[in-house]
Amino acid sequence: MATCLIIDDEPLSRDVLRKYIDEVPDLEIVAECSDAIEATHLLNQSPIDILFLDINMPGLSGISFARSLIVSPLIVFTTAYPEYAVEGFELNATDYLVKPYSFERFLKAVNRVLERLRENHLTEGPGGKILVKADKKLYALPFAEILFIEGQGDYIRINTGQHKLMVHYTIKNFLESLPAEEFMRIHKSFVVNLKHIEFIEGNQVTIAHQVLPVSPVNRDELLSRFSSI
Amino acid sequence: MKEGKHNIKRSPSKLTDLMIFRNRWWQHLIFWGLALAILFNIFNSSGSIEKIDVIYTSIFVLPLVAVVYLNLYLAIPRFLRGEKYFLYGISALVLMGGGALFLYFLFESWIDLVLPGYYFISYYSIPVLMLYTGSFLILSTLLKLSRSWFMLLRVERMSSTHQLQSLQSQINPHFLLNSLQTIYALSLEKSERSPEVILQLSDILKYNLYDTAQPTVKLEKEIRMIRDYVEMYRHRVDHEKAEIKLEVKGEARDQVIAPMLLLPFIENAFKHGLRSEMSDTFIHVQMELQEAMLKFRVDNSHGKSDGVDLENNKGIGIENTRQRLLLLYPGKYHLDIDEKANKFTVKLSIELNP
Repeated sequence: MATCLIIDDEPLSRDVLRKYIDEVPDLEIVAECSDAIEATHLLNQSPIDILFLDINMPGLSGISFARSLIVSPLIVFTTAYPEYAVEGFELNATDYLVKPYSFERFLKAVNRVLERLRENHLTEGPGGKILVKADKKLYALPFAEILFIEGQGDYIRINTGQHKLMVHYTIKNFLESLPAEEFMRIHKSFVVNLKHIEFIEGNQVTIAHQVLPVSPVNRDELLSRFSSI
Repeated sequence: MKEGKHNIKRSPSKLTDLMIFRNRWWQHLIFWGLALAILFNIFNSSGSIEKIDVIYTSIFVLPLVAVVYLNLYLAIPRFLRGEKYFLYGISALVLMGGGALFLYFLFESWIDLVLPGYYFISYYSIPVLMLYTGSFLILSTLLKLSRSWFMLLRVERMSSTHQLQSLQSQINPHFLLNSLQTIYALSLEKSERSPEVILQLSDILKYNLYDTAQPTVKLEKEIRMIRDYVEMYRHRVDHEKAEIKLEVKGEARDQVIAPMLLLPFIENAFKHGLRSEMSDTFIHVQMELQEAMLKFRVDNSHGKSDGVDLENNKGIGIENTRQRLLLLYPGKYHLDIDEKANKFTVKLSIELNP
């Protein structure tokens, strides 16, 4: 469970974030603040994992606030000012959401945050998972259960033992949210979970009775990684 | 695709080139046609058209052509344009005298060598001939000057409209994104307010896209846009922390106003008024109309902000509006901006055109 703090001076923007966060079972809102000064007190009182931070606020801007933090939670900026993205990322922000943003886009930010928390060993429990929304349902897919991913333009199809989920993601972006040691891109349109490969035959791999193509450029790497697992 | 773009870009400039070219030739032809006609009338003593007079006029005009074009393409560009008036004066005198002398000797002796069959008499002494060359010289210089004066006038007019356009403010893209966020938030909650807000935003956009291209708009429209703008903010702010008021007294009839003249003051009020660290922020907009007189006043809370200027154009909107007022309503407005420690007040009274 990751704890969140929302800092935004506009009530409606806080409403949107609250609604989004409430939909994700892994996230919990600790508090909401309408300005950065109020947030400073809160940060000192309770540990916060994720800060959803607006930039244009009364008194102290989100940028200045983030700069002033000595021990910083993971920061996701939320703003109507796209031009501060560079500055935001320089402050080591995890993501930068430009208002208005969709729930899917928000989930991408959450996945990035969870990935970072995992890297920092801040979340407990075995293995990681990724949050995706498909058919208006939210799924928390453990990485170990993902067999392979098939890319189709702006969408990907995630194959697990039970589901085939169409998700709005590009294969490249999705790959970034997956642990690199377990997943590999074997083809322009395919990413596989190395642990689920049954066998490799010529330029093809078989996972759960499905045969997938391997690009010649990826073949050597695949063979060496497959054999070292 | 690329080629099409290229074509579109090139064809207008080619066309203007051509027109100017044609214009010039016609202008010169007409000038010399008139000159020949007038000279012929002067030289033609008998009243009926005589061959000898035609030949005389045609030959007489040739040195004048030389004087005029030496003046236009040598003396003027070299001396007059470089503001070397003394040198130009000398060169003009040389052209005048040289032309007259040439004419004098031409009809005195040289002509017999070229056209031996005719008998010409030069009626004129050198000072009278100088009057001719002098008049042509002065005339051509004046024409050239008036031409460049017109050009200058056109360029000035173009640059002042261009300047005015660049001073006119536009709806800020952040305002647009923030408004969309408001609409998004409301529709996510399935709020009954969302249709209303969408209409308000589309009114603002319509005004910005279509009405602001005109030099003036009905005052009523500008006021309605301001009302929509203020309402958009009202949806966004925390009502417990900020107080927003808009009052309009009097009735807008047919008065017109330069578009987006008042909005920068309101934009500024929202930008700074709601950003102060005080808990009780406020923005009061008042408008009072008495016939052509518009009294406009904005008060807003004004606190310290941390110096990160998000819009990156602090005060430019107001400064540009000041310039626009100066250009569009000279002597017809009074602008008073008062900045106190925690309050910012703008008072503008302006006499609108009916």
